[in-house]
Amino acid sequence: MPFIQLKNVNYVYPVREGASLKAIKNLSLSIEAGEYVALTGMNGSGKSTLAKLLNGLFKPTSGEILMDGVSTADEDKVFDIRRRVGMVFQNPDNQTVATIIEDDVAFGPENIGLPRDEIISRVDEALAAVGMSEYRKRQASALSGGQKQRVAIAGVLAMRPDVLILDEATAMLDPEGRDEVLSVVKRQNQNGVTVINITHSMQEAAMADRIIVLRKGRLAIDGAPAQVFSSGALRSCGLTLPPAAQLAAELKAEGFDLGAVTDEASLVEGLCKLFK
Amino acid sequence: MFKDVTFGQYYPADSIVHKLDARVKLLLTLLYVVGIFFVKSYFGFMLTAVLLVAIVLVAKLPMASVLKSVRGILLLVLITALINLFMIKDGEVLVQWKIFVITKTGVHTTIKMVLRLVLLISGASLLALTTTPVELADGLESLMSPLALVKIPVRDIAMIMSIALRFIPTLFEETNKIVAAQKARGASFDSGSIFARVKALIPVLIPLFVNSFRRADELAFAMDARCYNATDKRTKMKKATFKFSDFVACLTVLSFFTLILLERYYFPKIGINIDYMIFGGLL
Ligand SMILES: Nc1ncnc2c1ncn2[C@@H]1O[C@H](COP(=O)(O)OP(=O)(O)O)[C@@H](O)[C@H]1O
Ligand SMILES: [Mg+2]
Repeated sequence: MPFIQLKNVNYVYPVREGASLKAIKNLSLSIEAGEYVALTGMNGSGKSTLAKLLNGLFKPTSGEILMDGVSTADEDKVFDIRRRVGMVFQNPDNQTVATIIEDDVAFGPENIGLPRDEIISRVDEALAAVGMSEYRKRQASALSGGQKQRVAIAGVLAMRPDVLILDEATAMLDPEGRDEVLSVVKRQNQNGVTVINITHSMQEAAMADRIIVLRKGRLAIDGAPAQVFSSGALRSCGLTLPPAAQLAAELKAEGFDLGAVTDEASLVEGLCKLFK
Repeated sequence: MFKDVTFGQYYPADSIVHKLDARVKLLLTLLYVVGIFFVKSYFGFMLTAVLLVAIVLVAKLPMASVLKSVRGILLLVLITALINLFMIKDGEVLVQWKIFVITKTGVHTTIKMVLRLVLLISGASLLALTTTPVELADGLESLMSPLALVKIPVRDIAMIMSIALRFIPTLFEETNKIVAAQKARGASFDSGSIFARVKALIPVLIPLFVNSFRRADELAFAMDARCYNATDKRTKMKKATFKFSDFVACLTVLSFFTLILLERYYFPKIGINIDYMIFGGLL
């Protein structure tokens, strides 16, 4: 059985008296343990709503989400699901609860009532995993954006999650900060954590094993990056190809087929093959 | 414009004062504040100032960090001082010009009032400067824990307080950004009548409020996602313990308090006036 399973999920926001807004429509998909998935789509396509459904912050209006066989609507298991499915949000300042970094990382473990020694060893471990150990006594407000997001990831890792969801966690960062965060995420994925990275950047999406595209709350595209980029379906979802794939697509239109191109490396490879 | 607000801001340093039990610091700060209101003599103020400077030195804080918090109430001090100076009419007249009278009692009362306010704010700011919001909240929670028996949500109150402290610098930073953005559009905050200046603040306050609500919303999701309220048996990474240094701190502040009381109530009875011994006829 897949680790995450969505069956005909609908989610409706009650907007005003009488009015409502359907944010997720009849969504069915499954994600295996250890996958690295990029979730993308235009603004308002339902990505954040889906993220909040996955860790039980929202309950499906209809349909069902199973996390390792447990329904996210199960009231008794909701905190277990939130512990297992960690979330990192876009704005680092709005997800830091404590002034001092180690206190912030300890927030989750404290919430689930772990013994003190266990909390300390988990905070040590989580800060080391994101390369922020020497900052533990510092103030979060004095960090760079990339460092703040790494601390936020540490806060999630201290819960020993199975799934790490990043909701546009790199959107407010400079390229350096973005690379710091993405390499931490990559390493976690190699350690077996399932990653769902919500992003608008197709270059970032290209790093995933699989790209899922939402359009107006529905599943629009689902496939490996090379397959998604070469299908030409992205445009209809309001998205553009990453520069390398765009160049390959234009060359293909001129009759030069470079094969599957997702990033600079595969572009160079394709060009070399072509010129041989 | 709002750059120098340090009140409520932690100043990290590796000192004994920083490591004191937050509960002890809270109670001793309270005792200090109460103590200041018993001080009536210049000797008493000197004693308080010596204690304050000693704590600042032991805490390895720069003097400037303490003085900065005084800067925030400078206007208040100034206005109260002027009112005191001109309103007190009893005692020997020093200066008289039309309806304005300055008396000796007025001068003494004013000086003492300024000293009291400055020592009060500096002392209270020491608590925030040497204690992280989490420690402060935990300490408060621990001190208030008997109230939980009568169904007062002590833990939530402590959490609210700790988050409020955590967001003070964030909100000031944001205010500065908005002010800069409005200035870039030609808004002026330091010219015109008071009315015009207050009016110029409206386009700053509105985005600040709107953003604060958005922040609160996001923070609530982030806290829920990290299992806030998962169990009634929330644990703590940092456990405050009463150490020898806490004992010494208590002893110090208690001695200070006792000395203040003695000097005010007992010394006059046995005919000792330290102020007179120091300043003599100057007073
Ligand atoms: N709290 C809310 N109340 C009502 N509607 C909402 C709320 N949050 C999001 N929506 C709406 O739901 C849709 C999906 O939003 P969202 O999941 O935030 O999209 P995305 O993250 O892809 O930008 C949008 O049309 C948005 O306006
Ligand atoms: Mg979103």
